[in-house]
Amino acid sequence: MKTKISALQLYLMLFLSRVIVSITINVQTVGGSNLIESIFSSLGLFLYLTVFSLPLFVLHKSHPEASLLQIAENNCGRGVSVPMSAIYALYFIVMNIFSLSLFLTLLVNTTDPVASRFSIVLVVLGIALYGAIRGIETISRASVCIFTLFMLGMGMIFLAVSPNVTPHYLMPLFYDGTDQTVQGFLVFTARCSSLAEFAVLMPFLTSTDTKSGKSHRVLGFVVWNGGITVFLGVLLFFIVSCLGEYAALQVFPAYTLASIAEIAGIQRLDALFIGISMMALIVRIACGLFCIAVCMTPIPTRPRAWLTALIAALTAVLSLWLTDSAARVGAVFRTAYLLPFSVLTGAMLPSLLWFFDCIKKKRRRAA
Amino acid sequence: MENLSEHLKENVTYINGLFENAMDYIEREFMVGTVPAALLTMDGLVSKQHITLSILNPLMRAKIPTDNGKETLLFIEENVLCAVEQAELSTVSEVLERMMNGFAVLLLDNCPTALAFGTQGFAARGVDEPDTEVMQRGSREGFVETYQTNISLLRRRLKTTELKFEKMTIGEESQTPAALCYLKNIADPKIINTLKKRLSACNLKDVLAAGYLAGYLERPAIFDRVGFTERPDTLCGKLHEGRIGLLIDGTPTALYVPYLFVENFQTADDYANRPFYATFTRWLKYIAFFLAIFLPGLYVGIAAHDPELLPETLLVTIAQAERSTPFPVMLEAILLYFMYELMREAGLRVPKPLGSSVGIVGGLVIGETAVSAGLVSAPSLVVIAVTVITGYTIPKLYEPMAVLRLTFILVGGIWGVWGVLAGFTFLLFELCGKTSFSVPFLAPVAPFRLSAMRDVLVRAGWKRLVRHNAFVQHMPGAGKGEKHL
Repeated sequence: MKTKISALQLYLMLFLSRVIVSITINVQTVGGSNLIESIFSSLGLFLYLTVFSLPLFVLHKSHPEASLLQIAENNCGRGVSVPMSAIYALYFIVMNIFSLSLFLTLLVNTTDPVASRFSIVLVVLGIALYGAIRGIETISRASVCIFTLFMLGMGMIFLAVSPNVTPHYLMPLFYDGTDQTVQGFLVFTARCSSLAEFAVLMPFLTSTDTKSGKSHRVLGFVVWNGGITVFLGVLLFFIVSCLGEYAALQVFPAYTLASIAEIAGIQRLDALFIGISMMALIVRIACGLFCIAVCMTPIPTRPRAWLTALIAALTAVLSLWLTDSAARVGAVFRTAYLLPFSVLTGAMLPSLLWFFDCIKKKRRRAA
Repeated sequence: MENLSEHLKENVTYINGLFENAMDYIEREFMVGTVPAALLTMDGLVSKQHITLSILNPLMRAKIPTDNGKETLLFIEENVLCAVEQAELSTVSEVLERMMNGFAVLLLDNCPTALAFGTQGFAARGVDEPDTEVMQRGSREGFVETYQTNISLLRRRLKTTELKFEKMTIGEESQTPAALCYLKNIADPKIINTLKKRLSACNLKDVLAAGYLAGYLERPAIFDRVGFTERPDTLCGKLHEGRIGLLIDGTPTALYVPYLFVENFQTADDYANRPFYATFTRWLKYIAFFLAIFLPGLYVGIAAHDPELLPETLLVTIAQAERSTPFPVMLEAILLYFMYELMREAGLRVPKPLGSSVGIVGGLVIGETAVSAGLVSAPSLVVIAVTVITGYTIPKLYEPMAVLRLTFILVGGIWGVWGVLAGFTFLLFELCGKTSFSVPFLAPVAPFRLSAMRDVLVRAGWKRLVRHNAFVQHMPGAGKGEKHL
């Protein structure tokens, strides 16, 4: 029997997986100078995810026990499903390296310049691999707890910085046009792996979330997508209204916001921010490793676990090599490189598969 | 020899041979009418008065109308002896098992069957309040070493025919009797079968304590996934939630499964006290758990790697104290903690009259002299002392907390605050990945069920608690099992 997780567990896991990358947004990546306009970029992503989740939901409804890759095998044969699995696996590897590199850059360049990158990578990947090997139930259950801690921690930071809110730091919207909003949308889309994760993890969703047998997957999707947009909106509001133009100079404005927070004599909540970010990052990487393992389903269980461990080791090596120089990270993880990959796995392949599925159904009906 | 022979001499010789050099073995040969007979029993396990008055006297005075062994046995069974516990035995192993459990066994010539009579009369400790689970408002009764007494303690509280006790024997050599107890209308048959299967796979030679079996019921992990209790009222409450209990002869500790992590924070007093106070003490225990595990690690991590996180005055105090000590803060914490554990162990093992000396030496040497000699700093001492005291609030978790505390001191000392948080995430994965008899160990927190929070986040009043059932097999995620890569 396949392990099932509830819609709540899946969406909380996806929340952490998405938010940990989204909160690293800065002026340098989106261009322009008014970060508040990124709220509209995030709204754009909300619409993008809503539209392109439709093929996934329709496919999931007609094939509840199959992942996108299994649907591809059933509809188009192994000639399509095998390369598709490879594309998805590669995508998750890239996104894991990207997330880890981003965190390493944050930790080493901002918080603790003498921190050992090797130890950080070893610990983070070790724990994530352990979670992935334990299974999706373990990751999703842990996500519920980590989500609670994350929201409590961020709530505390927002509460602590709220006296610093200066409304006149908020600049008029779209003063320099809409280029920044568009660029922000592209950055958000390029870094968002939620659709691909959803495509792979679909069959693990339980068909009933309530005693009456109803499923919360569609409602959950709306709440998740809306919730994360609202969260980012609130974060961006605090960043801009508390830091003003200073935010434009920061590589990680969300971290800077946490470091100016002060509550009841406890200064610098940046340690709290780093802590909860790392926990969310571990969930993201564990989820990514698990998705990679699902992409390798035809391989028997034991060799697959070893292969996943090998991929985790490769992720560690590549992250360390990339973060050795800031220029290297910037060059490799350009939005222009990540965007096609994210659109291909999140939007194009599921839409194409939906199209083929429709044709196949029509032919079957005609026959 | 497996089955009993028809010849008394053959049976007696064989059993005498098995009990060679066993001074507690008693064999008494006599005549029942015209039939030669032998009564076998174990000294110390039976009441000799009971045997003399209720078995030997009636047997010797009885007028047996036949000289056939089988007919004599039937006559005795139906007309002469009428013990409450009486059983016919046909194999040697059955005879031996009954004898070891305080029965007297009657063998007759020309009869391949024996009769066993319950004549137990061994010395046993009286029912008393357990020291480890003291309750302020409630019963003062605790389990004792004889499992029959424990069964009666449960039966007195649950006067229902749904309460079942299934007899088992565990231990290849000790042949320890045990009773599986559950409420038939509530307990999940799958869990009962799994438990039986795991117990039958137990290859222990002797079962001298309940803890011996825990490792056979669940795979080893940091936290126990088998519950232990010495209180019959606690076990009754657990049986009402669909759990399966195991009473083992010779130990006053009962086991029960499935056991969830949140149960470590629940005590019998919670349900006797008023809800608001029970909720308060429960939160106190949750906070104490986190302090007991993470406080020393965080202290070491912050002091050694991230001192800027501390408020200025506290930072100055700690820095001044640390300047006067020769050891780094991590080593200092480990030394202090090691010393405390040594004293605790010595206090537990030392004869009672010497116990106060351990306290005086420990208190003076560690509390006073070490600080005044400048070997350890006062803040480190305070942190370790607070940690130790908080650990006492959840005695069920003492063992894992002791190990985790030391681990987090090391992690904090090596990697700082982020290392401690990474360790916490690992611990979370470990807790979330475990199940106890197919029930997620962290349920109902993860997977989450709001309705169950009435006995986790708060302790709701009884009117609300009885409104919903809390059967373990209905916990979110229960019965799904685990799927690994």
